[in-house]
Amino acid sequence: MGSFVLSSELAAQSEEDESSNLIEPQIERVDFDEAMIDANDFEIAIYAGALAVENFDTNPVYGFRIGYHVSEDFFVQGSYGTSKVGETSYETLSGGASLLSNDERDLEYYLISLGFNLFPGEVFLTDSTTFNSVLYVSGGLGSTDFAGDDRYTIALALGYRTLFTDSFSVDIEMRDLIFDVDIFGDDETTNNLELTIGLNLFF
Amino acid sequence: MAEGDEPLAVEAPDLEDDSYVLKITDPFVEMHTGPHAGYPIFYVAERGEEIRVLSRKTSWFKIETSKGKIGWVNREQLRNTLLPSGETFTLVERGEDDFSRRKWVAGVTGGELESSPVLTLFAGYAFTENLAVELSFGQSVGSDSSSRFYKGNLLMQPFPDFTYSPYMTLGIGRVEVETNSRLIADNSDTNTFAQVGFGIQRYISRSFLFRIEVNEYVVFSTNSTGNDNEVLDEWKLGFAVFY
Repeated sequence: MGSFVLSSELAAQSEEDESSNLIEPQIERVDFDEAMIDANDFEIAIYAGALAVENFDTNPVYGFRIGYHVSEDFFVQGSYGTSKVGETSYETLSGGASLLSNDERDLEYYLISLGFNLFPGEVFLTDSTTFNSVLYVSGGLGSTDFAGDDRYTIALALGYRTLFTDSFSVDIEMRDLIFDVDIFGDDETTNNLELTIGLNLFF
Repeated sequence: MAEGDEPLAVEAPDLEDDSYVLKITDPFVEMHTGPHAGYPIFYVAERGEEIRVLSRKTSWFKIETSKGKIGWVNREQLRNTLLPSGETFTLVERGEDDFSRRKWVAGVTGGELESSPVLTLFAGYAFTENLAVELSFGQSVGSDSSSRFYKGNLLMQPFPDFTYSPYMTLGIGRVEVETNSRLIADNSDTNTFAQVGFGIQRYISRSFLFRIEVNEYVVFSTNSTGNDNEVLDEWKLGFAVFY
């Protein structure tokens, strides 16, 4: 097909311009190198929201995450978040007894997650303004430093991403951070729910 | 192309605005509203239409047709249907060749260190196909203690051409073990360790590789009774991106 186009054009040009000598065919192999195309596979985000730590009240949480989109379906993410937990009901009611020192109330976690874009969709803001969106799920492993110790953490998340441009999105994410706490004696598994809103840049 | 005196040469990649001009030679390409097969097809560009490639996301290319339509096309369709005006066209993709030529690699692994879960981040640089150096940071969180370790190691890959390519690692590092504060108040202990390991890695697709690895660590620790070296076993699997 390519050679047909080429030869017919050669003929057309030599008819029009007979004074010129033979046209030197400038046939170069053209590589379409996708590495030269601007890609948006990486993302960096900051997020803020509320984290409910079982027995320890709901408190603000802040964090950031870095992600890489492996395919249209899968992405990997590393995230870091920090919060400061409040008092248990016992601590409040007893009027002085403190289960944790001030430092031990600092909570930090990091997670490495694998995500899946479940339902791509669209947000219809007005009849002429449409943004792409996606509902995603992710599962991750990591560690939470809380009450003086590192705690092995499993995270499950459900998120909704609205892409305002190719390189900017707003994500609303609900995440369950599951880790064992032994403050009250025995190990007990806690589910700590986090609701955040994040600003994402893709590059 | 009716304009006979247009230069025959291919419309060169217009690098100034980061885009390529291509011409559709197959019957059609389907343009989606977003970079995922789930987004609807809103326009079908026909044979002969010229398109500009604007950007890429995973395996989808954002294109603009000469009629001003902007949408997303899958790599497969772009590969099969597009030629710059009359010239040989090759879509250069990242692939297995890049894998054997890789220089930088960065990734994450998860596994077990002495029956406690362990997560590791690593980054490496390959001097040759056979020899690389890697740095890693890991954390293992057990019920009684948690440890963080920093490690540098050499990686030898004797058969880089194998699909499942085996490798050996030798490394040294530092490990900080912190005993659970419910058992002993703030007891942390830092020691040097040596490590030997064996693994297998495999190219998956695009710029990804998969690896599975077993390691043995010798931790040079001393206690009140003298030398008390500890041997720890670890297995892990993970994946990495390479450049």
